[in-house]
Order: sequence, then C-alpha cells, then structure tokens
Amino acid sequence: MFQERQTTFGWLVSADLFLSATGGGVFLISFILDLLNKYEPVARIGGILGPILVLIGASFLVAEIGSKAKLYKLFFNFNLSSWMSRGTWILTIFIIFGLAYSLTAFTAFGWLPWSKATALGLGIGMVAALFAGLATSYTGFLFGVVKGIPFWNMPILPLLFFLSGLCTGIAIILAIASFYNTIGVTGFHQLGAAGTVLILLQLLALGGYLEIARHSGVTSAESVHLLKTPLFIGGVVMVGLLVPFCLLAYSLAVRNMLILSILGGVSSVLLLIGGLFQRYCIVRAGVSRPLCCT
Amino acid sequence: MSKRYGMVIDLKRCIGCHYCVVACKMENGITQGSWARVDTVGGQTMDTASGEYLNLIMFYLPRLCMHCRDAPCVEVCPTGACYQREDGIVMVDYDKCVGCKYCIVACPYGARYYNKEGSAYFAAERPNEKLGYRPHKLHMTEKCTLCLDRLESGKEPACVEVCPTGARHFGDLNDPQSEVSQLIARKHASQLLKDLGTEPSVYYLSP
Repeated sequence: MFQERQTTFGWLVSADLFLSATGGGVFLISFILDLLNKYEPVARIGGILGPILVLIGASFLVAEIGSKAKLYKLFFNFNLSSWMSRGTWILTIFIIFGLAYSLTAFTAFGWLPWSKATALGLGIGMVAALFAGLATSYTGFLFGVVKGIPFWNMPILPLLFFLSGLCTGIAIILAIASFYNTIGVTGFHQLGAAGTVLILLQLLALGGYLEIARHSGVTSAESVHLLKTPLFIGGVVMVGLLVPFCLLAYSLAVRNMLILSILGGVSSVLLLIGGLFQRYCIVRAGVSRPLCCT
Repeated sequence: MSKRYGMVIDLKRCIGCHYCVVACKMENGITQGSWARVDTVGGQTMDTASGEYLNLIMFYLPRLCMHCRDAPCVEVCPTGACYQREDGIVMVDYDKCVGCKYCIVACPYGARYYNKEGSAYFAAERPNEKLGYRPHKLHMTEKCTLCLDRLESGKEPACVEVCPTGARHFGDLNDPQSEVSQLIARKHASQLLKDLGTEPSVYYLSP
C-alpha cells in the first residue's frame, strides 16, 4: 500500500546523468591514452569531447529546472551535504580543467602558457582526470542517498554508473577511431579488448546490483520487476551490452581495417544507446517505500 | 528549550472527508495538487477495503509534510533553500530554490510538490495573497508550512481547525504538558517510516 513509482525524474535527468558519466569516461580514457603516449589524434578529440559532453548534459538539467536564470543560485549557495551541490562543483571543475588540458592539443590554443608535455599541463590534466572520475560516478551517490527509494539506496550504484561511464567513454573513443581510421589494427584490437573487459565488468555489476536489489525487500524487488520491459531487457542488456560485447570480442579476430571500423562504429553506437537507456530504466524503476501496510 | 511544532493525528477519528485537504488548498491558494492529502489504506482504490466480508480492513491516512528533525529534503537541497526553523518547521526559501526537484525525490513521504502551472482557477489574486500570505513561485518546490502565516497570528493550521471529528491535534512537542506530548506518551503514537531515522514531527494514533 502506498508503494509509489517515482515520476518526478525522467528522460531529461537520465540524459544529464548519461552525458555526465560519458563525458567523464571519455576524458579519463583519453588522459590514460595520453599518458601511455598512444593514439594521439583519438585521445586529442576524446579529451575535448569529455567536457563538451558534460556541458551538453548540463543543458538538459537546465531544461529540467525550467529556467537558466535560476542556475546561478547553484554556484552562489553551497550545501556541503548535498550531492547535487557537490556534483555542480565536480562538473564545473572538470569542465574548466578538462578544457584547459585538452585545448592545448589544438594549434589555435598554442598561446596558452602550458602544454600536455609540461609539468603544469600534466598537473592540470591530473586534476581534470580526478574530477572526470568523480563526474563518472557521483550520480550514483546522488541517487544512492535517497533512503525512501530502496532500489537506488545501494552502495553498488556508484560503481555501476562508473563502469557504465567508462563503457560509454570507450564507445566514444571507438567511434572516433572508426571515423578517423588512424590507430591501425593493433589499436582497434587493444581498444576492443579494453571494451570487452569493461562490458563484462559492467554486466557483472549490473547483475550484482539487480540480485542485491531483488533480495533487499519487497519495494526494491518491485523495482526489479518493473525492469522486465523490452526497453531494459532488449535495449540495455541485449542491444546495449551483449551485442557490442560479441561484436568487440569478434573484432579481436579480425584484421581487415574496414570491417574493424564497422564493428567498432556499430559497437560504440549500441553501447551509447544502452548507456542512455540504462540510466532511464534505473531512474524510472525507482519505487518509494510504502508508508504503512494493511 | 525552543518550541518544536508537531501534530498528532488520530486515525480512529479520521473519516476521510478530505475537509483538511480543501481547507489547505483554500488557505494556501493551491491550484495544482495539494500540500495535504488523505489516502485510503485498504483496497486498491479510494474508500475501498481489503479482505473479505466480516473481515475487512480500511482506514484513512492523512498525509502532509512530516517536518522531520533530520529532514532528507534539507540534506539534499543543493542551495540550502530547504531549511529548518528553530521551531522545527521545514520551509523553502524561494530566493534560493532552483526547482531541481531533488527534494521531491528525496522525501520518503511524498510531501513535496512542484509548482509548474500558474493560477488555474483563481481569477486575479489568490486567497493566500489576499490575506497577505507568502505568494507562490513558479518552477519551484512547495510544501506544507504548517500554515506558518496563521501560526504567526496565533491560530492553528487550517487542517487542524476544520477537522470535523477533532482527529488532528497540534502543539509543541518539546512541552511535556502540551496536548500533543500527552497524546504521544499516553497513546503510544507512532511515526511513519521510523526506521529511516528522519524523526518526523507528525505522529499517528493507531486506528
């Protein structure tokens, strides 16, 4: 009785969560590629796309709020205990440091007094990478603190969102690589292998999350039941995880660049669709605890 | 010790007339939804019981903001717009509210509402505005204020005043001699979702 499905948050918030995590994920992977000195053109575009995706995500939040004029209040009124307030600053710092680090890779910004090769540039990049990691996972805490919705109130949620962010991040990297075709067969194989491992980890985290939720009381079990929809089973699990896993695993045995590009491109699109749907399904499956029973 | 306002609702007395809901809407000039509501505990729809004939269960559960001592809405609000007064009343500062709706999701009692529409059926001034009460703000979160404007003029909340069966009792929870404290102690009043540790200021007497 009085077990109500939340209807407050929907597509706009889900898109914001998805883009924040994807932006953080793609930057983090690009930064690692920079550190490893690998696939420079791909890492350069990935690095700049990270903060841009987060900015686009923020625009969805503005649409949810209904007026961008109110947005300044988020910066002038800080509540330490609120994950939304923390998130605002995590994303802001990430965008500033992420852009400061990534823009130096473009000749138009050669006038900046630092570059990726300098200690200052590396320091800026490390701060940006730290906040990119936080941007990828903080939304898990944002929902995790909601005690009234047991399905969200689980410690594993930030881990799931972090892994999902890395998966969608590597999807962007694969998409760039497929488009530019500059990383060669070995590059595709290495990124593909990383992608399959990340998808596998995400599948394990998702399975663990659902299993924990199923055994954590009637309300969270009801949320799991609500996920038995074509959007979740078909869109998230099948199209968003299992199919790209198979495609990327298969790509490890392929040496033809054209086929590798197609496999990488298709996998990345599917991973991105699955990532967005996953956020939406988890958001919409939130069921509040019953106030009392008969 | 400062006051801590609270309410005791006697579920045995509540007859589900929704007079409190109407009074709340009238007093506060609410058009969309309501800050107060009365749910039926029993069957799947309003005013229906669960069980079988001669063994039926049904009672009414009036709901409002619980003005929790450890309010989740205050904790999650990114701008500090949700705040708690010294007397325990949880309020929304419209100058700080961004309308992110995080408090609506975080409230385990479903007691918060988003004001997304303008006046739907009040032609010009709303009743609350005529009385000089706080005006509503679009695209912001609203909730029960325990009729703060009435309290400041020495009256009880509208829902308490109009209840035809006297099911609602209002007073200072910090005063052991107050009616509400006496009822809580004497009749073993309970709180909703007590295990969440929110310490609601609204208590219920068993039906």
